[in-house]
Amino acid sequence: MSIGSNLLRFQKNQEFSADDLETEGLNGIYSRPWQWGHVEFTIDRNIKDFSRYIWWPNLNVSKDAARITRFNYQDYKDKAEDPVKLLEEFEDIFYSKSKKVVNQNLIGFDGLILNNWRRALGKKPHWDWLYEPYKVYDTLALSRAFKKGLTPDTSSPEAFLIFQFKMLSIRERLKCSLGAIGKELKIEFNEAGLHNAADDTLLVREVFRKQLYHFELV
Amino acid sequence: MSEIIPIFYDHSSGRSILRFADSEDKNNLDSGPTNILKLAKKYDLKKIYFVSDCFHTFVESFKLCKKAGIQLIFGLEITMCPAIKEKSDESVKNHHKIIVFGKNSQSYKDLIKLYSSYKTNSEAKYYVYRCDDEILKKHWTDNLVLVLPFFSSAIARNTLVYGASIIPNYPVDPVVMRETGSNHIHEKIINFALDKYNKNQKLEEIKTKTIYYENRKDSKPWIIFRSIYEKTEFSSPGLDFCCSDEFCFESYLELTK
Repeated sequence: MSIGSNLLRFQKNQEFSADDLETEGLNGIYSRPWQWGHVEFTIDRNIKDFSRYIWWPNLNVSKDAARITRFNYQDYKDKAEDPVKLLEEFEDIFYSKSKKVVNQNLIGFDGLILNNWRRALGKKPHWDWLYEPYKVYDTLALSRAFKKGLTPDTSSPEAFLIFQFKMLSIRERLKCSLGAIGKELKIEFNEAGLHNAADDTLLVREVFRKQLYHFELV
Repeated sequence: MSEIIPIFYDHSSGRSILRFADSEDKNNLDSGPTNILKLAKKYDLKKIYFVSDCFHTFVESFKLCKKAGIQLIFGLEITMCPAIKEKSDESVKNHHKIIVFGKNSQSYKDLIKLYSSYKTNSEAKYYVYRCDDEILKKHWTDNLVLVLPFFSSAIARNTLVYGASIIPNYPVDPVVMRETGSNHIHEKIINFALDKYNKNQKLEEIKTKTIYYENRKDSKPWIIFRSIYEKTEFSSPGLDFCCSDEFCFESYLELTK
């Protein structure tokens, strides 16, 4: 085995899944997701992508969330599906042992929203997926590391998770929003589609593909 | 370390929606909304561990506990910093918390002296009133117990906050709180850090359950209360990693069944 062969960038068959959830607000216990954007990919192959809408009869999208995501209630109502069935589908992919999970601010936000989805359906929230070794790659944390010139500590699964938590604790404005990072990395993307889960996940995929070469991720 | 200690937080510090007692009718503690004293009486708690960052409710809570035949064990939560003269956004990264519990009847006076030493010192204020190791050492007595709160101790902050490098110099070996059943995103990683830290330090540990409200469903009014306190709103409370509805007495009862 050659040096560096364990690096993710050389794992051509490793599958990744990137998910984005648009929500009714920013409440870490009660805001529920109404849109699920998903892509699956390897380092050089796009496998699939889709966007689904999650039905809640009493959905209450805040004014700010509606404005930012361009939420349209009629459009949502026409397309939304059963939240129980969708959660099963989501978790089948998300918890899959063969896939690594990539997401912009998964640890700081989307992970909380996933648990809100579970809680809203009477299921106990949990964090088991977060603590699986080298399962989660938060592109926001990695972007901040890139801007600060820091090297992620991948010496152990705990060290890598702690590193990502620390990056998310940075309060300094580093221009690491998905759109800003996409522009900086000269990725072509649909700027008008930002904050739509479908478009955001496509951008996360491309940002992460670049990050695999910025850092020696395992 | 087997018994789980319920730690109630003071309503007046903006963290908990449970008042100590219904102040409208002190003679009839069974009337009015749920409060800490009512829970203690209903579930036969012999002691109430009550934490606050001030003394606003201490005298009332002490008198009510004495009347009810329940021992009040009061803990003063203090924001610590490396040195109170350091005032910068960088220094805020090294803010962490300790809880100082009283051991006996003399401890109230010692706690008041400690509290006054930083709370009446305008130099100690930078966003909040802080204490440092020098002040703590100066006012430390054998009537006090130093405890490290699970989510906000130096160990937790060093683990989770970029740029934090806290090297505490406490006057005594602290007791370490191990939060149980919080189902919080940080619980496992803080436990990992505590295991590493305490492998060599071998500090005494206690199992605790932080309580801010009675039942899981009360987490909704709790967030509303905190949003008002923080001047935000329910849909966007601005509370980092506020992601668990397990900081409740209901959860404590399930753990101790």
